[in-house]
Amino acid sequence: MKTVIPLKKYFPEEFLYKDIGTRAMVMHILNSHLSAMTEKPDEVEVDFEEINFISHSAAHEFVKQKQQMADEGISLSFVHMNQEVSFMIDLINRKDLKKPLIHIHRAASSESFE
Amino acid sequence: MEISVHPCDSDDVKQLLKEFSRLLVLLNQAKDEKFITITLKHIQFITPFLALFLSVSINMIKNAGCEVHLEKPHNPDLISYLDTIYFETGVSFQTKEECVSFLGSHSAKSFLPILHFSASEDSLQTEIRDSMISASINLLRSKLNLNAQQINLYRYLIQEMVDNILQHACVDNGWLFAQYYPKKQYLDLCILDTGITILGSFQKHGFTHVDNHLDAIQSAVEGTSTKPDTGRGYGLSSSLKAMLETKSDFILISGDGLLHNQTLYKLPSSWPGTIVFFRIPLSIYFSVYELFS
Repeated sequence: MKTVIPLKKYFPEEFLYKDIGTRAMVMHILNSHLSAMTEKPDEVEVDFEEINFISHSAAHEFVKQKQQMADEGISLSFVHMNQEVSFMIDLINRKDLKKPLIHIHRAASSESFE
Repeated sequence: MEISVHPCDSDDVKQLLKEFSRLLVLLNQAKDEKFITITLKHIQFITPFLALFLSVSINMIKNAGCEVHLEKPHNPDLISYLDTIYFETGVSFQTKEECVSFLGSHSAKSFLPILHFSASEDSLQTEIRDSMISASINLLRSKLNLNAQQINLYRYLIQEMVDNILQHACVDNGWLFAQYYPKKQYLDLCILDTGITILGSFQKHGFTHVDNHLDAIQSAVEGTSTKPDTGRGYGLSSSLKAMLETKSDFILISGDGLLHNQTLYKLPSSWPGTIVFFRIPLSIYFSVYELFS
């Protein structure tokens, strides 16, 4: 059985920008939708229509849940992603991604903000 | 005990930090007092960074059993501004409809009021908080006439920092405040919590080799995550990278550690939590895509 989760229903209609910003929001959406079902689905489609942006953290949580659900025999797929959302989701799957290399230096103990 | 907030050149981030450091020492001392006065009468202006820090500090001092008398500024415009931004208390919401309606009524303002949001992961609070973030982004977009790349950068910063509070701070609430300056052409954005600090989060997860706040901040911005799954630890490092690339200012305070852009300082006193502050020129042209290129 297949079920579709329209993410836009979790936001007020008048929002021009509908963002999934936190891991908690990802879990809330998946849990509230799936717990309301009487039968366990074997296919879950997350519909990103009208979602403008997701954070790196939220994208990571979606991909993590996709892997966990696959282990339980449930297929989780993402549809109607715009360019930004698609970029973030793809980013999580990239194996060559490196964290930004930033050099931090320590102020001498006598150095203040002046 | 009387603590006087001094005027400082708000355009100069180092002066701002100097005043923050001085106030932090005094406010930490005040927790042992029964009664203190905080006077704002010498200032004509207050930045979001100091306004948020003072608001939350006053709350903490009161919660510690100290009575606080706030001496108002002489400048009537500043008095009115403090009222409008919900100085001291912040504003919080019981429903997402309330949040949307309230923030919608601020569309003519150059600031978001001080937002006091729940860090709970329960369903209701999660929907309210994510609606608050989306409504804030909508407000900034409409006020600042931002292009798509700029708005993506702001939403990325807000979302990652709020998520950090939820994931790591072990605290009930977080705070967010933003103000833009049309003449100066920059936006100040400050996100604060009173949680276990970055060091506390490392120690809670068994990173015993990280044993002071400066090391903890350095490890966090270099991308060390306290969680075992791969693909984590990008929030702070990528946010700092974005700020450096756009010649913005980035401040991260946690415990007695303070990072200003790429320089780490030890504070003379400790903040019981974490504060992140961004000062972003409105003229930037930077894509979130570049963060990961």
